[in-house]
Amino acid sequence: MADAPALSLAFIDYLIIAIYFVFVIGIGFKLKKQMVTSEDFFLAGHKIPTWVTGLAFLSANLGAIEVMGMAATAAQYGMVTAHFYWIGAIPAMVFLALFMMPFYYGSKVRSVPEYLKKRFNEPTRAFNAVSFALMTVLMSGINLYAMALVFKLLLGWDMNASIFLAAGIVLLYTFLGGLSSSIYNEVMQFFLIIFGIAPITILGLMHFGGWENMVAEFTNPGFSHVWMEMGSSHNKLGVDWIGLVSGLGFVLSFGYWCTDFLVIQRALAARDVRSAQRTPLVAAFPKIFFPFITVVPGLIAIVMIPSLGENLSDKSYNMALPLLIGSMYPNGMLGVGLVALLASFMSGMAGNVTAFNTVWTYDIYQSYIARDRSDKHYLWMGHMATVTGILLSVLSAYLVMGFPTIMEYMQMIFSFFNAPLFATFFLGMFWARCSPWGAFIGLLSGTFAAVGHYFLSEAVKIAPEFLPAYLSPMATLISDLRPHLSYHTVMAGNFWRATVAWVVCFAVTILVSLVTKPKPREELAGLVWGVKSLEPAVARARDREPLWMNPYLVSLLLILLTVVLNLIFW
Amino acid sequence: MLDVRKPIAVLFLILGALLFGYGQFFQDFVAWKIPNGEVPLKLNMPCGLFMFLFGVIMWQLARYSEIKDLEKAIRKREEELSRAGKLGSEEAQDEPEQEPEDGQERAPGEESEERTDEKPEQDPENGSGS
Repeated sequence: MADAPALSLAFIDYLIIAIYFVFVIGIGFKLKKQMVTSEDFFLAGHKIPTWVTGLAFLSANLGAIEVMGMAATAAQYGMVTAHFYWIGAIPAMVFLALFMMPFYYGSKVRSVPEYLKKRFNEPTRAFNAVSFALMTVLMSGINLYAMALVFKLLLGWDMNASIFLAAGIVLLYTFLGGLSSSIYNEVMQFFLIIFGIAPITILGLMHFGGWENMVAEFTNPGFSHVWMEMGSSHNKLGVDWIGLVSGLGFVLSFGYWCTDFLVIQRALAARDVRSAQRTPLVAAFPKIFFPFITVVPGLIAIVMIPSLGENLSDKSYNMALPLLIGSMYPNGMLGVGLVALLASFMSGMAGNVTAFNTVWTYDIYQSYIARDRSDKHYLWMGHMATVTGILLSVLSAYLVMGFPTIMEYMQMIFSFFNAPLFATFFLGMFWARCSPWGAFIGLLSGTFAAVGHYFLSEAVKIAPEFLPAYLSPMATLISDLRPHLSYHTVMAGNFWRATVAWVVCFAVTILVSLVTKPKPREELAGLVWGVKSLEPAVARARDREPLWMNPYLVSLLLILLTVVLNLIFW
Repeated sequence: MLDVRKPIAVLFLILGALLFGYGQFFQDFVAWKIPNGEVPLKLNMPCGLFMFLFGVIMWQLARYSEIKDLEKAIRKREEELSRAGKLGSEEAQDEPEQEPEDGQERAPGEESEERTDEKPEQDPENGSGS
C-alpha cells in the first residue's frame, strides 16, 4: 500500500471536478419534470435520438471495466486485449442490430426478461430477472470499488468516503431523471472520457517516437500482436485461438451484447425499430477504435512504469491508467483525467442501476409482488429500486477486492449468467420448436454447469494432501479432472467456463424441447425468426432512410474495418 | 426533451477556457522527452483549445438543429394554413349564404390555427426530441 498519496491536486483540479458534478446533477434536475409516467422513467418515453442512444449504448459499457480494466488487461496480457473489441464486441453488435433487435423492439417488450416471458414462460422470465438483478449489482460494485481504490492510492482519499460520495451523486441523477438522465449523462461522460484519456496515447507515442519504437521495447515480440501467439495456450492469456473464438468471440461477447438488458435498454429508448437497429451500429464505430485509448495506454504503462504488476495495491495492473495520468498530466489536465475516470465509474454504475430498477419493477415487483397497481405506484417503486440498487452496489464493492484484475472478475460473472442465456435466446429467436420448459431447464442447467465448472476448477488447484474433508468423497474426480481444468490464467478459465455453460444450455434446451410441448405458432408472432415477418414495420422505416443509413451496409463496413485492424495488428 | 448537445457544449466551453487560461497564465513549459531530445510542452493549452473548439462545434450543431426544427415547424404551419384556407374557400363556395352563429366573420383557417397552437413537434433525430 502506498504510504503517501502519489499526487496532489491544485485548486484548478478541484474546480474541474466540481464543475463536472454540477453538470451531472444539473441534467438530472432538468429532466425531473419530464418524469411523469413509469415509461418516462424506465424507458425514456421512446423519444431519444439515435446518435444519443448509440453513444449511451457504448457508454453504459464504458465503465471502469472498459477504461481501467482494459488498460490493466493490456498491461498484463498485451495487445491481445484488443480481441475484447474486435472479436469480442463488433461481430456481436452487428448480429444484435441485424437479427435480434427487430424482435426486441418489435415485440414491444420493456425488458429482456419480459421477452423471455412472451417467448417462453413465467419461470424462465423469473429466473432471468433474478439472476440479472443480482448481476447488475455485482457489476455496479466493480465501478465503485475501482473508483475508491484509485482515489485512495492516487490522492489518499478515504475509500468509504469516495464510495459514498460517488454513490450519492449517481443516486441523485438517476433518481431524478431515470433512464433519460442516465443516457444523457452517459453521452456527456463519453466525450469527457475521450478528452481525458486520448492525450495519454498521444503523449506516450510521442515519447517513444511512434508505435514501432514502442513495441521494440517489449521483450516478447508477441506482446504487440493479436494473433501471433494464439496457436497454442502457451501465451500470456493462457488460451489458444479455439478457446478465444469460442469463449470470448462467440459465447461471452454474444451473451453480453445480445442479451444484457443494460445495453439493450438504451436501444429500446430509440423512437422506432430502425433507430433501435442502428443504435448498436452507431456504438460500434467508436468501439472499433477504442483500443487506441484503452489498450495502447496499457502497453505504454508496461514500458514507462517497469514496476507495474509488482504488487496488488499501488502497483497493481489495475493502476496502469491512473499511474499514467498521474505521471503525464500537469494540474488542470490532471483534473480532466480524474473526471474521465470518475465519468467512467459513474456511467458504468448508473447504467447498471437503471437496468436494475427496470427489471426489479417490471419483471419482479409488478409480476409477482404487486400486480395491477397504478402507474404512479410503479413510478414510486422505480425510485425506491434506484435507492436499493445503489445500496446493494455499495455492498458488492467490497466483494471485488480479491481479484487481481477487474476484467477477470467481470468475465467470471458473465460466464455464470450471460453465457447460458445467449444459448436460450439463440434457440428462442431462431427455432420455433424450442419449448418453454426446454428453455427453462436448459438455462438452469447451463448456469449450474458454469457454477460447477468454477467450483471444480478451484478445487483442482488444491494439492490432494490439503483437500478439505468435505471434498474427500470427490478426491478421485478432482484428481482426474486436474489436467483438464488447470488453466494458465483466470481469464482462460473464464473463456472455457463460458463455452461449457453455453454448450450445456444449448444441448439441454434442444433435448428437453424435443420431448415437451412447444408454444403454438400463433403465439410466437413477432418473437421468432420466420414465424411472422416484421417486414411491414421495418419496410416503412426503410423507405424513409438514405442508403448510407442502411444497417446491412453499415454492418458490412464495420466488419471490413474489423478485419483490416486484425490484419494490421496480426 | 433536452438537447444534450447544449449542456455538453457549455461544459466543454467552460473546461476548455479554464484549461487554456490556466496553461497560459499559471503554468510553465515542461520538457517532454522524445527520442531525439525534448520538446517544451504546456499540455493544458492544446487540450484546453481542443475542448473549447469541441464546445463551439456542439453549440453550433445544437443551434443548427434548433433552426432546422423551427423551419420545419413554420413549413408545417404554412401547409396547415394553406390546407385550411382551401377548405374554407370550398366551404364558402358550397354554402355562400351561411353566417357564423355568433354573427362574426370567421377567417379561413382560424379553426386550424387553434388546433395547431400546441408546441411544434421537433425532429427527434437531430437531438432535440419532441
